[in-house]
Amino acid sequence: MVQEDRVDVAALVAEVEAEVARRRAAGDYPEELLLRLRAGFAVEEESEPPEALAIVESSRPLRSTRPVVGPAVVFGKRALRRLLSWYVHPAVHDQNRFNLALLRDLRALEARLERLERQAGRDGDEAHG
Amino acid sequence: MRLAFVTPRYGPEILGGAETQVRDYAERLAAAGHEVEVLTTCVVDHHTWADALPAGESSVAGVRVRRHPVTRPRDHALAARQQPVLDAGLRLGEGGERAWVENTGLSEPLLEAIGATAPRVDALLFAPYLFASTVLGAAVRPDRSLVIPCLHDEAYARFAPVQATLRGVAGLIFNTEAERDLAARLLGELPAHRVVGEGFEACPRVDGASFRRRHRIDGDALAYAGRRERGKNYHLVLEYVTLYGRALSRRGPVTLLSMGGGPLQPPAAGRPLVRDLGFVSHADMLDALAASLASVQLSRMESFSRVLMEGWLSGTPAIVDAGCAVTREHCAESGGGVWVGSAEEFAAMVDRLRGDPGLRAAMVKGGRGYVTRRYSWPAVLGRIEAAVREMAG
Repeated sequence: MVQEDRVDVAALVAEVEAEVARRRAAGDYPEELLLRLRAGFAVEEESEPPEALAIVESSRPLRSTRPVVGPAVVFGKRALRRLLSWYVHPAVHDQNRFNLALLRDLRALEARLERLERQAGRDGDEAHG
Repeated sequence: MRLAFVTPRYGPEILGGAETQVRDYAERLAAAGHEVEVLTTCVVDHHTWADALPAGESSVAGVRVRRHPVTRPRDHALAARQQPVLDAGLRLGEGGERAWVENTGLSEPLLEAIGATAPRVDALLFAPYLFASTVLGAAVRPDRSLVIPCLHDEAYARFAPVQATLRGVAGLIFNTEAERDLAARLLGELPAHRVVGEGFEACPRVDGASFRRRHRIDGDALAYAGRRERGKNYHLVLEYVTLYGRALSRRGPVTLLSMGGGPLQPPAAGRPLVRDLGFVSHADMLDALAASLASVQLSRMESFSRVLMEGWLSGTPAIVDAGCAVTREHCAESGGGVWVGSAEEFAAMVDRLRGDPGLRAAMVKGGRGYVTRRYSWPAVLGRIEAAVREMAG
């Protein structure tokens, strides 16, 4: 692995890749433990389907962390929300229509791609007899 | 030669690869007898793009610096609208891309200063590629402009205004062959270009043993130095070290010496394995590298990667991500580092390095030789002087 003047790192990497493939094939890795540990690094948004995010809500729970004046702050926010609702609700409605239209087209494309892939697979099988 | 560097932020308080590179170039070229000045803004923080330093002329480490105020304050609402679109892998459209660029510290006085300076210098050198000072600044006098892009494979590199500027300038100065190849994939035919790279002192003084004593580090350690954020794949470093320590190691866990700032924190399972050193001085960072079994740099967003070189000079081999052409090229050419594509490969590699001090020493020797041959200051200065003469002369 160490040649005259430098380490052949490409060969070292290839050796390690082969070792990992061998151990994986032999079931040498504790897959359940790895799965559990990896779960701690998963990114939440990536695991959510877009359907779960498509509907935007125009009103969220109101709260304040300020002591004493907290209830007054929440009351003020609630009043403000009601005053602005004529403006916010239509915008949110438009956004939701757009999100759902996009999602419907995305799913249609997905289904079409799946059909084409299935068809291509069948054609390939027939061609190979 | 008379040279003017143009960069959005300048000074010793500015952290970042491209910013450090410009400062190093400017100071070294000035010390070598060239007439060097820097045109920049008053900004320190590239999230707010707010003026923080006084406008006007000053001298920073022997280099004449002229700062100009930002005239287009950061539109945070625009940034908040545009970022999710880019994160989703969608395009902003040409108008949106131009608005994005103009929202990165645009300074009209800086653009005027570029126009006024161009006739009395041999070249204007811009870095990095994506901000207003370069995208709009290099378009003022493209015939006298050379861009040091510090390019990454990211959404901004596909912006139409960015690509138009890069295609139209007198020349491009790349850090590595891999960065040049990326530019060719993104831009098609390249204008005149040269590969120069960054410079390093031959042998920094390091003391890994004293660092271990001071920080009470027992057993083997790995080092990470850089921004602790997803863009730099720091989450992958945490994941690999945790999986290694908890499930995959044949030699027990290692400690990760983590240096830098950023939002990412290890999850509960990885916390005991990480020593959070936060921001450290440059000397401490080199000592930490010297105290480690290897430096781990899994970022794919690299145009050069200083930490690899600094690791080799400090006596530490490198582990990089198999998907990063730039760091992988450094490792393959030097023999000073290895690349991994999964936690299992990372574990097998760390086990090997731990069990074979001879292999580690040979890798360090290869890495040091590579830095000394290609990235010593005399070699780098020679290349940048030649690049300016040939492309802007």
